[in-house]
Amino acid sequence: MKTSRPVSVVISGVGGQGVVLAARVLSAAALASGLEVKASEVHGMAQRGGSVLAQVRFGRKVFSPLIPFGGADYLLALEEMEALRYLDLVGKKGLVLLYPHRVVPSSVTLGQAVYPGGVEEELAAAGRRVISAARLGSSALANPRRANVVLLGLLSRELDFKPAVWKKALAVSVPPGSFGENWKLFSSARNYVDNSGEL
Amino acid sequence: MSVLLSGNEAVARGAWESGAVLGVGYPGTPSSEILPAFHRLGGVRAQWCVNEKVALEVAAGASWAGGRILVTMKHVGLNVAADPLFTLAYTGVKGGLVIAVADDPGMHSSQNEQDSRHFARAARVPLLEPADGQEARDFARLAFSLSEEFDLPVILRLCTRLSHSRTPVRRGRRRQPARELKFVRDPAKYVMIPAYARRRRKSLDERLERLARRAEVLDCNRLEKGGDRAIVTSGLAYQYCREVAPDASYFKLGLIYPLPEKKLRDFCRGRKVTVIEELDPYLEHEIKAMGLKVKGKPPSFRAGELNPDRVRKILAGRPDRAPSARPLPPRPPVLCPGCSHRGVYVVLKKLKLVVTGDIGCYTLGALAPLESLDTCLCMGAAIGHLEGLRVLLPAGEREKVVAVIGDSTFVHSGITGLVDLVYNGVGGVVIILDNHTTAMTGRQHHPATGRSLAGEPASRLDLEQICRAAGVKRVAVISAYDAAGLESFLRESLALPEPSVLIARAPCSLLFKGPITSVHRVEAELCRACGLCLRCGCPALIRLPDGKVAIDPAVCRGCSVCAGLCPFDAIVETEGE
Repeated sequence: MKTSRPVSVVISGVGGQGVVLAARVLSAAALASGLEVKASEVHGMAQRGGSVLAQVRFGRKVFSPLIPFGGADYLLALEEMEALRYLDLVGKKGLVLLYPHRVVPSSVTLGQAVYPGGVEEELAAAGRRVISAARLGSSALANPRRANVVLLGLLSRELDFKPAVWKKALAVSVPPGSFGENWKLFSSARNYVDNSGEL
Repeated sequence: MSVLLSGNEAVARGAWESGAVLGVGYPGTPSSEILPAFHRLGGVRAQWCVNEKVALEVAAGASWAGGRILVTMKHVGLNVAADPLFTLAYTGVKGGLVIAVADDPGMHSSQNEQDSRHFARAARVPLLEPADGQEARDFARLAFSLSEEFDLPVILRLCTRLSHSRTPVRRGRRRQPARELKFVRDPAKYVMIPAYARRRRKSLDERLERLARRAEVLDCNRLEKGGDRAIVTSGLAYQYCREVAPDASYFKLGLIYPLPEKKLRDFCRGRKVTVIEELDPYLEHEIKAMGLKVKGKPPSFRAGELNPDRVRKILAGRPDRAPSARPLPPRPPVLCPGCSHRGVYVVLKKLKLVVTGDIGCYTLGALAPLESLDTCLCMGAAIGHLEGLRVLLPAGEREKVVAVIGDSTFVHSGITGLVDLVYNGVGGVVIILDNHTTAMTGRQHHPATGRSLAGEPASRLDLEQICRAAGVKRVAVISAYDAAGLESFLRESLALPEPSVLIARAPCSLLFKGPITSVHRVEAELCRACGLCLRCGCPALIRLPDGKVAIDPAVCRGCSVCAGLCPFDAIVETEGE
């Protein structure tokens, strides 16, 4: 991990999916690792089922909480179409962590628009590296409400934060009753052995 | 050790450390989280007021008793509080009084993009603008001490990106609040009759002159030596500048009103200076008015939120154009599954009414597929719009107009509109969408919920009684899910010359935390794929490839609004999780 310039992470999804929670866990882990952190969240009207974007930046020194176009190192997409919406923020060498789940917007339900097909292929065609949580198998996909934790588990493989730091960051961010399930999902994503040779 | 705090939490922390004893305000994104955070710090009183004007008046009284007071609101709230604000600059304070005002560049959750800095100059009230959480905490402390030293209320200007960004903050201990709280009579200071106001106006000039001299030596106005490129900036704009022009020389302003004129002259002397600021060219014009030659941003950059890319373009003299993004189906915010407003809008749409609207979640009724809200201007305006339209529209048209207003908004500034409607004999139907909360801003309590900010029991404002007291004789309370009841009351009332109030009541679906015992499902063999149910715009409804509809049982809340729309009785109740 480079520390000369900040590491920038975009987290996108739909209001109610836990985008803000994911940003808080990541921010807490970065702060506990001794880095400066700036994390931008969206509240208010944007949370009513709309498209939601959080941006987390950490490093020795961070100025802007907003990531410039092409400046993100990682995109965590909790919803397929919301991966495409913020793709411009991701650098050419950026990595997209995708949770294969669709939340159909009303414009599509009403037949006024078409939900894009082949999102993973389109991301790859745009030159970005993509890791879909589909590789983790059905247990990771069983509960789309935990997409945030699954993707954080995948992201944790890329960052050199200690496991104990992640564990504590998660513990202080989720309700105590659900920590066990969340930690299990996080750990299996973090520790899964990939046979595709791409990770 | 630093902790991660949102800008809002950092303001609360700074006020708490300053020994503030009372926090007052009205919720409004992006300012809503300040008061609850202040309350959680403990040992203080925090309360929601009915609106921002009342909040500032409460704060003034409490300050005159000698305590330090925090007031919070969003930018448009300052319009509501403007009346007390302008004269509060004359009277001044006793205990420090700080008004945290959150602007919303980009209009993430607002009806306009006004720049609160103009209020500081117009009302002649000092304004500080922090650039991150640490400064939000530090400047809150500075604001309290300046307020007391210069006998003025002080505005702390926040913006969405500061309020809702989490950054590391070093904390300090709480200063002991003033021991003796006492009101000392001083009519020449507190009674603004013309004779005294003229004296206080002169005093205001003197106080501001003293503060302007202090501005020259305050640490919050900071010089950062660098290369030839020179930038004057403040707030979040400073962070964007540092990101894209790390080698420039900076004059970062913390105190925006009054400005440190001498220091600005020194900084600008003999070099080309660019002024980078969020929203209006406020600093640019003020600095130019000093006779200094500086360059501001082109007019196209005044609208919308700044970010590193836009700042880079301003500095490079490039046009304000966003890269062309791939076209995608839009995903605007929608009413939640089970929302109590949805059924009301279905009825209003069926009756083809003109609906004057207001500020809240229900403003989303303007969007497809409900498309049944026709106006939205400001808090409480729906009832005034109804009155104005009914006064001028011809018979046959005027009977088609109704107003919708939420319970919290009605208490904020709808009551006066209702009194006016009755007093002027105009008639019409006002629908109060009573979901027992201030939903859009995060479900805060208000007088009609009967709970305080802390969630403790409080006196409950009786909406029916207050409407009757305003002179409305026809007041009905009908469940927001009772489509037939809503429709028949509206049909009976619309043509009447006298006013009616329909309280459409059902709690916000987000208030219900228990298990959902009954949901709905579609009997596939009965569904004729007509799509009529989709017109209620519920996120639980899914259109299948064959055109038929299914209901996502994990999303459905069992409200039955969609079932009421199905002409084939294909939507039936079933057991929940």
